[in-house]
Amino acid sequence: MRRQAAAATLGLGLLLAALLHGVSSAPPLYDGLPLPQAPYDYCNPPASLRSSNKPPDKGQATFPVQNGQVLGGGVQTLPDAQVVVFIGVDALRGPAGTSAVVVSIDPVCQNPPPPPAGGQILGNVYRISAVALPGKQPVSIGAPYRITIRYPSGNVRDVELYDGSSWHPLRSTLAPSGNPYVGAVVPSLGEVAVIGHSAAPDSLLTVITRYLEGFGVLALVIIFGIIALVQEIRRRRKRA
Amino acid sequence: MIASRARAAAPPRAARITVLVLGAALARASVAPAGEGLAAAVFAALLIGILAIEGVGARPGDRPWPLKRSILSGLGVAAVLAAPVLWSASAGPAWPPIPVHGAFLPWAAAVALVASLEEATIRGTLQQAWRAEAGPVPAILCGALVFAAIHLPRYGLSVMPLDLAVGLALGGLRELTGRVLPCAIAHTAADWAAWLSA
Repeated sequence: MRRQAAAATLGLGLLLAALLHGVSSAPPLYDGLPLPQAPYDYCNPPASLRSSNKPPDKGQATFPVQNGQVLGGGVQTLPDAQVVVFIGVDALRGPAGTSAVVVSIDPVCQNPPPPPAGGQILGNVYRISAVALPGKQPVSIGAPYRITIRYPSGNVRDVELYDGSSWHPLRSTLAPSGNPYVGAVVPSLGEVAVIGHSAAPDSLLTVITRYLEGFGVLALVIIFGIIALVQEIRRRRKRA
Repeated sequence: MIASRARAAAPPRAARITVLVLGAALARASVAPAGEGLAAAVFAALLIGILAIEGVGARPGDRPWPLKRSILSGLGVAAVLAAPVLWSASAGPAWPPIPVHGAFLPWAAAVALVASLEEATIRGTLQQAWRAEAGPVPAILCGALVFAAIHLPRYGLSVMPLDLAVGLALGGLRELTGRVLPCAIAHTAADWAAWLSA
C-alpha cells in the first residue's frame, strides 16, 4: 500500500511537471547554478570593479544579398557575447543594387542617453546599426529582429529602445534560472539597453509578489519554528 | 497501531529540521548579492552542517531497492524530467539564448554537489523525520513544499508550481526506492540538461 502511494506520487509529480513545462513560461530546470559567465564588461564600471574591468566589445557581421533578399543570420559582440542579434531573411532592406548589408553592434560609452522615467539602465547601452553596400547607404527594416542582452545585476523591467528622444519598452523575456540575459523583439534600429525598476512605487500586486518571494521562506521558517517550539514544550511537560 | 506508537515515541525533530533547511535557503538568498558562487558555497556548507547534526534518516524495517535498480530508476526519472528541455533544445536554440563562458565539468561538479546535498537533506533527513512523525504521504508533501520554498527567493513565484511537482516526484521516488541516491541522480541529471538547452 505504501509502495503504491509512493508510486502514485511519483507518477503524479512527473505528470504535473511535464504539463507545467508546456503551459507555463517557467524555467526548464528545477534547480542548479546559473551557467558560468565571465565578469560583465562595463563602459562605466562601479568603483570597486574599475581595476579589473575590461571595456565592452563590438560586433559586426556582413549579410550578402541573394535573389534580392538580404540573408539573415546572427551577430554578436566578440568575445564578450554581451549582445546577440538575430536577423531573419529579408528583415533588412537596402536600396536597389545592394550587394550586402553590414550590421554593427557598438557600446555607447560616450554620452549614453539618460535613463527612462521610473527606470534605470542596467549595464551598457548598445547601438544597433546597419548600412547597405556598396556606398554605406541606409537600410530599412522589413521585419522585427531579435536581440539578447546581458545585464550585470538588478531587478529587470524590460529591454527598451531609444529613438533619439525617448525610450520605448519592448516585449521582453528573461532567461531562465537567474541567468543574466534578457531577450526582446526589436522593431527598428537604434540604441537598446536593459532597463531595471527604480525606486518608484509599484502596483499592489507587484509589491505583494515581491514580498512573497522575499519573505515567503521567512514566513515558513516562523511557522515551522513555532511548531518545533510547541512540540518541545509539550515534550518537556510530558517528561515533567 | 505499532506505526502510530512509534511515531508518538519519536522525538520531534521534523519541524526543527524544516526550520534549519529553510534557514539555509534564507542565508543563501541573503548572500546572493555578493556572488552566486559564494551563495552556493554557503548553502552547501549549511546543508552539510544540517546533515552532520541530524544525520540521514534510516527507515527501520524497510528494504531499499538494490543499488543497480535504484540507479536505473533515478536515470529513468531524470529522463522524464529532462525530456521537455531536450525536446525544446532539439527544436532550436533557447530563447533568449544564453552564451556560456566556461567549461562544463566544473559547473557540472558544482551543480551535482549542491543537488545531491539538497536531496540528502530534504529527501534523506527532512522527509524521513516527517515520515516518522506524520506518515509517508504528509512527509512527501512537506518535502515537496520545502523543496519549492527554498527556490522561491531565487526563481520567484512563477516557478513554484513546477518545483512543487518535481518535489512530489522526487519524494515519491525516495519513498518507493528507500534510497536518496536515485533522487540525487534524477535531480543532478535534470539540472545538467540546462547546459544542453542553452
